[in-house]
Amino acid sequence: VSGEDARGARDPAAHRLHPLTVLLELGRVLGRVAWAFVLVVVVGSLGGRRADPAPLLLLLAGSGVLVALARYLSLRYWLEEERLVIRSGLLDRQVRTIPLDKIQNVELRQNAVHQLAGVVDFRIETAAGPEAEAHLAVLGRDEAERLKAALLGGRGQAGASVEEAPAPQVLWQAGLGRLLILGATSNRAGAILGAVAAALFFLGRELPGHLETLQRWLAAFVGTISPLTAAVVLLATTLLVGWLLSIALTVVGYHGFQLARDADGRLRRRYGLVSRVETVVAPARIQILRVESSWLRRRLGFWEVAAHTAGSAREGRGAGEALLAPLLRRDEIAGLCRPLLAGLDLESVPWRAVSRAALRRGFVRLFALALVLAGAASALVGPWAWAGLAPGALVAWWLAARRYRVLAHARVAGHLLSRSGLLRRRLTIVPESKVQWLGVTESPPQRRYRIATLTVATAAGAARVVDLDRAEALSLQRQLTAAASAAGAWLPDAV
Amino acid sequence: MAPLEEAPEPSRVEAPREGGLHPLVQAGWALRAAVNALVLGALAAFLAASLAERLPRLAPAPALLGVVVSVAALGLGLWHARRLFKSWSWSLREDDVLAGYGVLWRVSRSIPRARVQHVDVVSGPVDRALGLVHVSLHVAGSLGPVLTIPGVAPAEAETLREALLQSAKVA
Repeated sequence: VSGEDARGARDPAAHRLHPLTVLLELGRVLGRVAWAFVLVVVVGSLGGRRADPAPLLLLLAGSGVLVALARYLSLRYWLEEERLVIRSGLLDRQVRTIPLDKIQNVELRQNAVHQLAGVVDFRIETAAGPEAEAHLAVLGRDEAERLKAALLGGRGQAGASVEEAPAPQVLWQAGLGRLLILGATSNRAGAILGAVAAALFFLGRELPGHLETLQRWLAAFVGTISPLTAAVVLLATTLLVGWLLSIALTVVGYHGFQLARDADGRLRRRYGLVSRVETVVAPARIQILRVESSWLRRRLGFWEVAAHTAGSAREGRGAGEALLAPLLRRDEIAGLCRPLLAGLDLESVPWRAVSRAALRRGFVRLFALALVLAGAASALVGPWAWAGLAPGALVAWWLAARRYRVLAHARVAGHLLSRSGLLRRRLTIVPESKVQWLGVTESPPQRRYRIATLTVATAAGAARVVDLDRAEALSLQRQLTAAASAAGAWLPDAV
Repeated sequence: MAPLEEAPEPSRVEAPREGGLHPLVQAGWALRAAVNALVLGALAAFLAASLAERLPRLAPAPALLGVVVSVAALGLGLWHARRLFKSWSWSLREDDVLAGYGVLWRVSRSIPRARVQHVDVVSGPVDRALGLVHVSLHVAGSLGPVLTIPGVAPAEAETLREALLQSAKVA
C-alpha cells in the first residue's frame, strides 16, 4: 500500500460519489442480471416445477446491494497538484492518476432518473483508449459542476466557481424547425421501419384479418376498395407513423442543442430533454474535423459538422467523436469552422482534382458491376437482358465522372482537406500538426494506372485521398511528414 | 519496390540507414510457407477422401491431390516470400522512419520520428533460431503497431530503438 493509496481514506480533500450511487448502481446490476432471473423462472416453470422466485430474487438483490455498496464505499477521488486521482476497488485496489493537461474532454450525462434525482454521470477522456478513462457515476449536480470547473478551469484556480466566468458565446443552436428537419432526414426512420416490420412479422397470421377490417373501415369513407389498396394504405400508414416517431425521438434527443465557446476558448455542447448531455472539448485537441451530408440532406442544403478528439481509435461514432452541429445550412459551415481552424477559410479552398485515371478506374469498377448484374439478369430472364449493358455502361460512365469531380484534396494554411463520397458527401479536415503517420497504398488496379491512395492518420482516425497521381501522393507524404516533424512532439493540446 | 526519393544525408542522426531486410528472414517465411502448404495439402486430401466415399467417379485420388495442392501452395508461398523480400525497404531518415513493401498491394508508410510513442522489439521462436527480431513502432491513438519491420538484426534494432527514443527526447 503506497502512501498515495493510504491517503483518501480520511483526507478531507478526498471525495466520494453521491450516495444515490448505491441505488442507481443496484438498479444497473439488477438490470443486467434480470434476464438470468427471467430465464431461471421460465425454465423452472417449463420443467413443471413451480419454483418460488422469492428466494432467488432476494439472493440477486442482496448480491446487487453488496456490489453497489462496495463500489460506493471503495471509490474516492481527489485533486492534487494538477492531477486527478481516483482510487477504487475493494479487493483489487486501483489508483488511477490523470494529469489534468492530458484530459481530452469531459462529458456530463443525465438520463431522466438522474435528472429527477439531481445527479450527473461524469466521464473524463484522455487520449489513451476507446473507453472513457474515468467514469464517476454518479455525482451530485453541484459537485459535478465544481469538478468540471476544477478540471477545465484555468490551472491553479481549481476552486473558482462557474458563475464568475463570463457568459459563453453561442456559436450555434438548433431551433425547433431544424430539429424537425433533422428528424425527418435522419436514418432513424430506417431503424423504426425495421422495428415496425418486425412487429408486422410477429402479427403474421392475423394480418389478413386486420387488413380486412381496414378494408371495410376504409370502404365506409371512400367506397369499395381492393385488398391491394388496403395493404398499400396499411404500409403507408406504418411508414408515416415510423417517420413521425423518428422525428419525435430526434426532437427530444437533441432538444435545445447548443454549441458555445467559453472565455477560455473551449467548446461546450449541450443537448437533450429526457437524457441531458454536456460535453466540453478544447478546440486545440480536435484531431479531425468532418463535414458530412447524406444525399437527401444535401438536396435540402444541410450538412453536419463533427469533431474527433483523441481517445477513440475506432472509426465511426465512438467515444471521441462529438457532433458539433447536426444540421447546418451550407452558408453557416465556414462561419462555424473558422474559429476552430486557425487561418483556414472554407469558402475559398483551392481544390486540386485527383488523377484523371480515377475516371477510368471508377468506370472499370462500375462497369464490372454492370456486367455481373447483366449476367445475373440474363440467367434469370433470358439472354436479351444483356441489352441492358449499353445503358449500364452509360450510367457507369456518368457515375465515374461524378466521382471524379467529387474527389479532391487541398493543402491550405497548415491543414489537409479531402473531399469524397458520391451519395454521402464528406469533407475531412486534418490539421497538419496532428498527423501521426502517413501511408501511400497502391492496389493492383491502381498500380496499372500509376495512382495511389494517401492516408493521413491522426490519433483519432484518418483522412484518405483516393486515386491521387502516384508521384503526387509520394510528394505529399514527404511534405506532410516534414510538416508533422516541424510541429515537434505530439502533445494532445499542441496546436 | 519502386524507388522512393530519399532525403538528403541526415545530419542529426547517428545511424542513418536504408536498405532491405536481413536475407535470413526469407528462411522464416519459407518455413511458414512449407507449413501452410502441408496443412493445405492435408486438408485437400481429407476433402477428396471424404468426397470419394460418396462420389467415387468424380473424386480424384486423395493422395495425388494432396501432393499437387501441397506443391502448388509451396511454390506460391516461396514465390510470395521471394517477392515480398525483394519489395521490402526501410530507412531511418532525418525526420521519419520510411518503409515500403507489398507484393500485390504496395504500401509506403512514413512515421515522423517525433510521433513514435514506443518501440517494441519482438522475437518469436523462429526469429530467435535465425538470430533476428521484429521491430514495431507505435504512435498515439492506434490500437496496434503502425509499422512492423520483420527481419532486423538485433544490433540494428537496438540502434533504431535508441535513435528513435533519442529523437523523442530531443523533440
